[in-house]
Amino acid sequence: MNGILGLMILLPLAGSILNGLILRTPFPKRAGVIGTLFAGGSFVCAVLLWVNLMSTHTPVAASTHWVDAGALHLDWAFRFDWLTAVMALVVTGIGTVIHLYSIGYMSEDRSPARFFAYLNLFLFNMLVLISSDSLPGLFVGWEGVGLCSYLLIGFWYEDVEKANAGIKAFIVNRIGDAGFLIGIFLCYHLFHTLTFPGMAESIAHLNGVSPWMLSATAFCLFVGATGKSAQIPLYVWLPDAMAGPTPVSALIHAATMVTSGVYLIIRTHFLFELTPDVGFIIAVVGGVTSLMAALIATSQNDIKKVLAYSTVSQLGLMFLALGCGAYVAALFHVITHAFFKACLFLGAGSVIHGLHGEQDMTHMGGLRKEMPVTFWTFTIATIAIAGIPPLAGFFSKDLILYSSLTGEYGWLLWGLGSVASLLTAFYMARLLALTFFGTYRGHAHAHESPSVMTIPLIILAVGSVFAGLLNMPESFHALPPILTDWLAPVIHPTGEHAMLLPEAAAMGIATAVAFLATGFGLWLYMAENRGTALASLLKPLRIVFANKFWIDEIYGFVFVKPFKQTSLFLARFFDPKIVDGLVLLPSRVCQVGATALSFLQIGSVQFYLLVMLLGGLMVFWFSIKGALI
Amino acid sequence: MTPEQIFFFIFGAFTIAMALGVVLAKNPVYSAFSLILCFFGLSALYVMWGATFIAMIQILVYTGAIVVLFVFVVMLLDLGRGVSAHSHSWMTVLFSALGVWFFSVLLLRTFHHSPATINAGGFGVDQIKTISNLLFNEYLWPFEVLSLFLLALIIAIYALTRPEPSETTPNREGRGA
Amino acid sequence: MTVQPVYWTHYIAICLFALGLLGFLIRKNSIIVLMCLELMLNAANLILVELSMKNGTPDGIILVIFVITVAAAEVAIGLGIVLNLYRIKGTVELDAFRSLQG
Repeated sequence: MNGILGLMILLPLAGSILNGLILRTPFPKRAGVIGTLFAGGSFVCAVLLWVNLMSTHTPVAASTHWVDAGALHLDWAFRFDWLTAVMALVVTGIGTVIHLYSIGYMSEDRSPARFFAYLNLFLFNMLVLISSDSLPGLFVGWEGVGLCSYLLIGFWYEDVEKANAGIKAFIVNRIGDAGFLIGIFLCYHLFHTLTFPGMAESIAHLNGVSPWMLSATAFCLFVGATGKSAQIPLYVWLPDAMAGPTPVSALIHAATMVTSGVYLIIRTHFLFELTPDVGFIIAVVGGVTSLMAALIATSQNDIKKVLAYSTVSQLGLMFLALGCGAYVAALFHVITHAFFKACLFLGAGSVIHGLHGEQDMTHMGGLRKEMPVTFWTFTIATIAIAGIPPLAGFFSKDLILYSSLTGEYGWLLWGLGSVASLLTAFYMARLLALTFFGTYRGHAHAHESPSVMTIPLIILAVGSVFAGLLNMPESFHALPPILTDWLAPVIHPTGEHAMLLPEAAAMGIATAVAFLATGFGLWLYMAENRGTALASLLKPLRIVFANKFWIDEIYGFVFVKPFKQTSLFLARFFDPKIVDGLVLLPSRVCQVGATALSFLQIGSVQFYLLVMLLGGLMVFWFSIKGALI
Repeated sequence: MTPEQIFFFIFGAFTIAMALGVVLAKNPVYSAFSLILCFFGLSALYVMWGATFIAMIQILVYTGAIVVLFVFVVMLLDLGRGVSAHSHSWMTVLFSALGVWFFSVLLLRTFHHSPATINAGGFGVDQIKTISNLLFNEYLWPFEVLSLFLLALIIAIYALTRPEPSETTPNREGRGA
Repeated sequence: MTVQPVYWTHYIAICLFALGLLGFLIRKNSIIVLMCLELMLNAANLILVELSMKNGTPDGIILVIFVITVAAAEVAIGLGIVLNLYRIKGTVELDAFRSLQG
C-alpha cells in the first residue's frame, strides 16, 4: 500500500516531466490526453487508498531519510490518514475533471505541453502538501504550489500585465510564507519535533510554556495561511490571478490551492485549540474578509473577477469557521465549495470560450438559448452557492453560520457571515441574470462548447447537488453526519456548546435570506432599467466597491513605492558610492598618501642631504641623549 | 691672557671669518680667495702648535694645488658674477640653519671638557724624519694603497673628461682617440 | 711653547664644520659646494693635528697626510664631474639637475 501512496504522489510528477521535458508536443489534444491520464491515475490511486483506509482503519505511511543535523531529524514522511483522504479525493477528482476540460479550452493554444506539464506539476505539489506528515514537507508542497500558481497565472507571459499578475501572486504569497517559516521555527522551538503526530503528542505534555509563545506560533502559521488562502491583508493577488487561463482559475484558485491554508490550520488544530485569542483573530479576519470581498463583488463587471472575489469571500467564511473551532464545518465547506466554484469557473470559461474571449458582463446577455448545457450547470452551481436548500452550499454554509453563534462575539461573527451570504446570493444572481437572461449586448457569435468541456460541467453540477449529503445535520434525521464521523480519529468531536439561537431558527433565517436575495438580484438585473432609483441612491457606495476600496492603490503607495525608492536609492547611490567607495578606500588612501608624500622627491641632491642631516640628527639625539644628560 | 692665547684668538677668528666668506660670497672667485686665506689661517694655527710639516703641506697642497684647480675650473667655465637664477625658499634656509646648529651643539656636547692642554712642539725638530719613518715602516701598506689610488684617480679623471667621440678629427675611423 | 686648553680648538673646528655644512646645504653653485666640502675636511684635519700635538705622537699627522691626499683626489674627480655637468646643461647651478624628480 505504501507503493500506491508513492504512486499517487509521483504519477503527476511523471506526467509533468513527460509532457514538459520529454515529449513537448505542439498538439493540444495529445498533451491534454497525457496530462489527464496521469491525473486520472492519481485519482484511481487515491480511491484505492481510501477504500483501504475504510476497511483497515489504519493510515498508510511511507518515509525516507531527509535531514539529520544535530538535534534535528527530518524525514520525507507521507501519511494517508482520514483528513488526507478527503483532501486527496477532492484534489485528484476535481483535478482530473479540470484536466479533461482543459483539453477543450486550450485546443487553440500555442504551447499546450507546457500548460499540461504545469498543471500536472501543480497536482504533484498539492498532493505532497496534503499527504506530508511533517511541517517542512508540507512547506515544500506549499512552495511548490506557489511556484505552479505563478507559472500558470503568467502562462501567457508575452502580455506584460499577465506576467505581472503572476509576479504579484508570488510576492504576496512570499510574505505569507515568511510568517509561515517563523511559525515553523517557533513550533520546533516549542515541540522539538516537526511531525504532526509528534507535535500533537508533545502538546499534551507541555508545561511551563508561556501562552504568549503558543499564541505567537499559532498566529505565525495563520499569517502563512493568510497569504495562500487570500485573506486580509494578503488577498490582493487573487483577483489579479484571473489573468491566467480559466481552468487554472478553477483548479488552483477555487478548488485546491487556496484551501491549503484551511488545510494547514485543520492539520495543526491541536495548537489552535489551545489559543482561543488567535482563534478569535482568525474568525474576525475571516468574517471581515468575507464581507468586504462580497461588497466588492457586487460592483464588478468582469465575470471572472466576480468569481474571484466570491472565492475570497467563501474562504473568509471557512476561516470564520476555523476561528470558532468548527474544523469539520470548514472542511465540509471546502468540499462543497470545490464543486460549485469549479463548476462556476468552468462555466464562465465555457461562456468566454463561446464568445471568443469576451469577459465583460455588460457585453453579454440572453446566452441561455445558445449555450443550454452551460446555462443549466451554471444555474445549479449558482443555486448551490447562494445557499438554497437542498443543494450542497446550503448545508455547509448553514453549519458554518450555526457554529459561529457561540461565545461573547457570536452575534458579531454570525452577523458578518450572514450579511456576506446575503450579498453572495445577490451578486451571484446578478451574474446569472446579466450573463444568461435579457437581450444580448455583445457583438460575437455565441456557440455552445464541445462535449469535452460540457461533460466536466455536468459532473461538477451533480457534485454541487449531492455533496451536501456528506454531513447532514442530525436534526434532519435523514443521514448520519458522514464527514464528522469519518474525521473523528483526527478531529475529535467536541461537546455541545451553548448556542445563541436554536438550530432551526438559524437555518430558517439563512434560507429566507438566501431566497430573498437571489430573487431580488434576479429581478433587478433580468431586464434593463429596473431599480434605477436605488442605483442612483447607492452610487457613491457602488463606486467604492467597484474600485475595490482602492486597496491596491493604497498598498502601492504605502508599501511598493517606498520599497522601490529604497531599492533605487541603494542601487544608484548607496552601492556605487558608499559600498564601492568603502572598498576602494584603502586604494584611494594609498594614492592620496603617495601623491602627498611625493613632494619629498624634489630631485635636488642638496634637499636630500638636508633631510638626511635632519634624520641623522634625530637618530644621533636619541642614541646619545642619555649620555649627554 | 698670554700673547699666544691672543694670537690663537686672532688666528681662530680670522679662519672663521674667512670660512664665512667662502659661504657667503656671491662671486666664486671671491669664494676661492676666501678659502685660500682660511687655509692660511689654519696653517698659522698649525705652526703655533709646532706641526710645521703639516702647515707647509697644507699650503703647498691645499692652496697651491686644490684651490688653484678650483680657480682653473671657475675660469674655464666662465661663470661670471655667479648670480643664481633660482632663490632658496625661506624654509630650506631655516631648516638648514636649524639642523646645522643642532648638529654642532650635539657635537660640542660630545667632546669631553677635559682640562688637558696642548704641549706644543711635542716631538721636536726632527719631525720629517719621525714622520717618514712611520710612513715607510708602520704605515707602508696604506701608503702603497694610496699610490695605487692615485693611479686609479688619474685614469678616472681621464675617463671623465676625455672629449666626445664626435669631437675627434674626421679622418680617424673606428674608436676615438 | 705655550699651552691652551684643548677645547678651544674644538670650538673653532666645530664652527668651521658647521659653516661648511651650511654652505653645502645652501649654496647653489656646485663649485662653491665643493669648496665647502673642503672646509669640512679641514675642520677634521684641525682636530687631528691638535690631538696629535697634545698626545705627542705623530700618528695623527700621518692620518692628516692621508686625508689631504684623498681630499685632493676627490676634488679632482668632483671638478671633472662638474665639467661634465656643464657640458650637459650649460650651467653648474644645482637646481638645474632635477631629473630624479617625482
